Amino acid sequence: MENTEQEQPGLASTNETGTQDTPPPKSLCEMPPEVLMHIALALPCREFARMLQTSRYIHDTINTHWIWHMRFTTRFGQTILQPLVRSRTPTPPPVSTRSSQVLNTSTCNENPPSVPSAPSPPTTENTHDIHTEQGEEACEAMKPAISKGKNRKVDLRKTTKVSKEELVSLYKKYSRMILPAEDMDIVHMGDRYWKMIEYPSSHFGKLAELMSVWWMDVAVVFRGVPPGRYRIQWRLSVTSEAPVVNSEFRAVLFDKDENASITSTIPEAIMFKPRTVQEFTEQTDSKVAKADRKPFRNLFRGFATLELPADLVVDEDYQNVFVQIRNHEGWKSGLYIDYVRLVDLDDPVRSKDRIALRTDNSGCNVDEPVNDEGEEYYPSSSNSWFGNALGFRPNLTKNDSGSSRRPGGARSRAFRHVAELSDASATSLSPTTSAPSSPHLSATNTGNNRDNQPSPGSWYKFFAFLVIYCMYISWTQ
Amino acid sequence: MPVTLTSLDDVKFTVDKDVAERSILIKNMIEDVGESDSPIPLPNVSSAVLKKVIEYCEHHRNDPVQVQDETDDPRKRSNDIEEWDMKFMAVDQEMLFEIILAANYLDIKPLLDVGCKTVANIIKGKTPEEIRKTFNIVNDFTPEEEAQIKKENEWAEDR
Repeated sequence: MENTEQEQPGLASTNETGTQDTPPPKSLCEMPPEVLMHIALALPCREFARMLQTSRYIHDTINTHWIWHMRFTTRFGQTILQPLVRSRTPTPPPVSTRSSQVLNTSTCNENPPSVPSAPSPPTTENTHDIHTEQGEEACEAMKPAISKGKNRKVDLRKTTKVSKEELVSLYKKYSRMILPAEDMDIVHMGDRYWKMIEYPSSHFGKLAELMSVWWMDVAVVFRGVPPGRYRIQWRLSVTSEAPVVNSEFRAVLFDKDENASITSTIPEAIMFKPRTVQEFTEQTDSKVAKADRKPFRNLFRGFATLELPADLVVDEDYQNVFVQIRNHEGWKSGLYIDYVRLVDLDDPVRSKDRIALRTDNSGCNVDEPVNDEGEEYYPSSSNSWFGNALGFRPNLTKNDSGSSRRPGGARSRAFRHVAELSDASATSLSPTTSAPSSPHLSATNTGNNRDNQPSPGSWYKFFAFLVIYCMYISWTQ
Repeated sequence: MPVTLTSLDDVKFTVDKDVAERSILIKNMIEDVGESDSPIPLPNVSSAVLKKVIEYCEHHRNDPVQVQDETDDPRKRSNDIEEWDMKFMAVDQEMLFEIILAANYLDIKPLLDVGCKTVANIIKGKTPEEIRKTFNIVNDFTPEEEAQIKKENEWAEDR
């Protein structure tokens, strides 16, 4: 096969040179534009961006609206643009307005859009919402468009309605493989059941805090996930077993041209439902967690990464991945969500980058929201990368052995359930949970702060202990 | 009915009509000219390259014909290359470029696809500088432009 190459070096433009001189290797820049564009469409995101940086000719040839449109629709499908295109027609159908209402009701009202650089696509988020009535209606209304879009060619007339800059911006937004809590669709997000809290130590600056909820439903969609093998990782802080035991950590693959509502009819690609604390902790990077120890309260000091116990395999084409934490039974509290991400198992460079990112994060995690001196569900060795990555403080691990054991979390949960049934008590106590590093938590390393949940029991005991302590001080003086 | 193709260096190849018609250019030529014994000149393709292209067309002679439309459903795109095609494309870079150019000229979309995907696979994992070196690309950006474009595209590094 290869020997044929020597017969003739190439086309007329290069093969007429002297027989002694080997012609200079052909530059990619000598390729006609249509070939360069074809290559550009075959490149993954990272390499496409690197290709843009090679030369002016290549940059100008492939950094065009058409290429970005093709790259966008190849990866994310066309239907994702339809609401945007439709909203720009002179008479927008009611779907668009309804969808934007869904966006407003389903996300935290106080928070600005998560990606400020995105040109505020008013209806693109609505596909995440499958829990509200309006969301479902909107999904229904979208269906004809979706089924049409599936078999239709790219309508180039429509693409002019979404500029190249907007396409790039949307591409940036949707191609993320790590999604912060702020972008999740959390049912009952607001200020009573779930709320977003400022948290500078997080890479994203914010956490979703579960205060108390019965219907726990956290969902988010990774769009246009390239073919490959992935692991799903949730970065969580868990201070009670209720939000994790018997909760369903799900992942559903669905076609990029389908709406997220279809995930209710597709079997899960991954389903992890820990029945016990041990089952849960075994999937986290907390190496020493064992169920035969006492029941956990502050499961982890700071944050832990839960890795779902199966590979997520995306075959052949780009697909959407719907990930969810679901538990619709019983009152739950004591969960902080930082982010969820897909780790590409086939790309060691990216995996390495991600670990580095996590280590960077941990560097400033000195004020994690958990204060639990004496707990023993932490790595005993802080020199593991897990420990380092999670920001376990070496000075805390030394306390593990000499600490006193206290009764488990069951009792405090019982208190909590009573408290959560009363709205007034829950809201009045909410400030205690919203201040992860508040002074009173750090000042009470006396064994009485059983956890940092809104529990009337802990308040009562704290107060009683304070009184006794003051009496003791005054007595000793 | 066999068709005779003449390469740039005047080498004649006789192939079956259905093999030749994998090339939309040749297919249209045959349709335009009608049944004829006269050879079809391909002045842009050397015999070495044409031999490879015919090898590809013979292997894929029974594949369903793709719709020749650039705006075809992009969902069908995939970066997977069949094993035979991958072996077929295991040639040096010069030949790879020539095959791509020939596929582009002869309008053989599946071959153009495979060629471009092969180039894309070579690019994978390379830095801009490595890409330049591999494909003999001259960096004609000013340092300021280069820095600016690098900054603009930083977001893509972890996607």
